[in-house]
Amino acid sequence: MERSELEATYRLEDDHWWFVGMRRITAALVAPLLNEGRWQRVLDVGCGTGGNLRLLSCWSSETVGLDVSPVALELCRRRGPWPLVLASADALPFADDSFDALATFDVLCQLPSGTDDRALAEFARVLRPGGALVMRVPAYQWLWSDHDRVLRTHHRYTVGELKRKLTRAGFRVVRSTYANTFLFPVAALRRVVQKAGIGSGTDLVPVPRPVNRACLAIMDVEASLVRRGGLPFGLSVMAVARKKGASGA
Amino acid sequence: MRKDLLEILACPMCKAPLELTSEEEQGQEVVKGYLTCTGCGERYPIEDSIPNLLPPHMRQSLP
Repeated sequence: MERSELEATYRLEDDHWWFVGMRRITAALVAPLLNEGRWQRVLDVGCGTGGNLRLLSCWSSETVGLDVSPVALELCRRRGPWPLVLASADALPFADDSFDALATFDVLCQLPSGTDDRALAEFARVLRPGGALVMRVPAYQWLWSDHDRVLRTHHRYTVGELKRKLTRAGFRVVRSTYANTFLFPVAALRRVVQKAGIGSGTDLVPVPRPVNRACLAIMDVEASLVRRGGLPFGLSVMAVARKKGASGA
Repeated sequence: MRKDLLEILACPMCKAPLELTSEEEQGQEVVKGYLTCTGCGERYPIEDSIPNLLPPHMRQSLP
């Protein structure tokens, strides 16, 4: 992403309903895994401007951020003192079995075609056996629009496709669901209209405070539904998986 | 870069351990220096406390 887009994300990440809501949905998905205790060391692959590092730090003793963009890391450092590494998701600079958990949000989709499998193999390599992978990718290739062009999204997934890829890479899928479901009709309509050449740019723009609160309330309902089971469709695909071997076998 | 991060860092290409050469430090933090791969010999810079561990072909394309 360009510097201006990263700076816009940095400004929006703390309060915008989408970012806050997605963090709450992630927390709902991850909660059962934490019954066995906090993680020792977690890696955020594609940490961007650092909006998720604070959440991940609640669950682990040490959180390491990794991103391919020096500008993102520069902004990320303003948020907190996390160890940061400039590196690529498909060539991770860590020894085997280094992490108890790995989180990666809307990153796999940005990799050039065919490299997502290589990145998943790298995620498995740096996780300890039984280690947890928490991930999110955008849903449905037919929804690809100008929003994705701005965010450098190459591919949008289905739950089934992601599960197959995770299994091939040596993971056991523990939970998978769609998310961002209730606002799906509005967003899907906007994407289809964009495809017809009307309107452009990303959906992630500042909104008036009452709208932000209303959308966040909807995301809270989604979080409680994800906690109870899952959602049948939506703008995002989310999954929690464990690296096969040891307790995760 | 915090020095203890070296325990888990590896070369992004051949995955061998890295050796730290520090040129400027602040407490436990290496501000400037480089990491050398003990396997393939590739050298990775540390600038402004952040290790640049991008594969060589990607490092050259950075702005």
